[in-house]
Amino acid sequence: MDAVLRAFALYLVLLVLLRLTGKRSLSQVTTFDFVILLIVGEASQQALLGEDFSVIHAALVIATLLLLDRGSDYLAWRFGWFQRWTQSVPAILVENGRPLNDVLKKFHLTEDDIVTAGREAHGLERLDQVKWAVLESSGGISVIPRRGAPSSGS
Amino acid sequence: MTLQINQNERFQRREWRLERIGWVIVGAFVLAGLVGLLGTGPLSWATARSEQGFVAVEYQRITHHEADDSLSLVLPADAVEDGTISVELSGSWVAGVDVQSISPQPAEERAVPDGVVVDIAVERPGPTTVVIGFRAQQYGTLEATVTVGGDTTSFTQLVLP
Repeated sequence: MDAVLRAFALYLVLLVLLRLTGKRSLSQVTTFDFVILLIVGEASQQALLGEDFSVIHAALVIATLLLLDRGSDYLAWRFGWFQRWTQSVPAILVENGRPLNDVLKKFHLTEDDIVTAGREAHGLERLDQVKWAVLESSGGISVIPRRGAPSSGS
Repeated sequence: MTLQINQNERFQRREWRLERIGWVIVGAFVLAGLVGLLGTGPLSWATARSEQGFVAVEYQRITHHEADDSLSLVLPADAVEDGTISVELSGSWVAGVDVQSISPQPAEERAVPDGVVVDIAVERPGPTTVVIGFRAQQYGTLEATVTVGGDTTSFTQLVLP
């Protein structure tokens, strides 16, 4: 019983904390983020396993976590409000070539971040070659170039 | 020109079906864990009472190997004899677990064939509870017999890996 309850509690704690830190928090994993991730894992281990080192306990914890993840995936597919609350929504950063500065400010993003995304995905040189830029719910920035702007494939 | 892809619709359908069955099994596994079929939980909590009521053992039917567990001996006022409670534990349970703590601490522990006698000093007679903390060291079933004042009860624990 405690294995299932522990896993459930920790799943909720992690979900709430990671949602509160925002979409961008761990989407681009720098070296430091990677270390933070490891520490988070280390810290949750004790809470998940307690003083029980048996195989069946570990199997129950893992099964519960995977079941919760799959259940949450299903609910997100089934109900829009559940997806919005657990996985967030995409946000437009550049609308038809015009950067939305107040939105950028809210996400602590600069035009540099958009230009970086444009360079990486399409080899764009300047911000005026960007038609649309969207902060996806996964935390990445996707860029749609203006027609006629250079594209990495061509 | 068609897409060069290693697709196999028959296998994909079979995979979906097996996945679905698999998740039902995983769900049942977690549910069994929650209710106490695989460890602590409502279906695992049990009490073994002796015939004359000198001792009742609150224990878990199912416990885990190398995991902290405890059981309580609930003793009524008439279990006290000359200021001590004498509890005899015997059976495969005694050898199969590593006793971590007995609370309150016994005044004396004596060996008997196939078991141990624990004497606990009593300050004022009255109903007492003795908690034994332990870790199971063996797999499978462990049987214990608890005797207080000639009154006996027994219980069996299943130790899962």
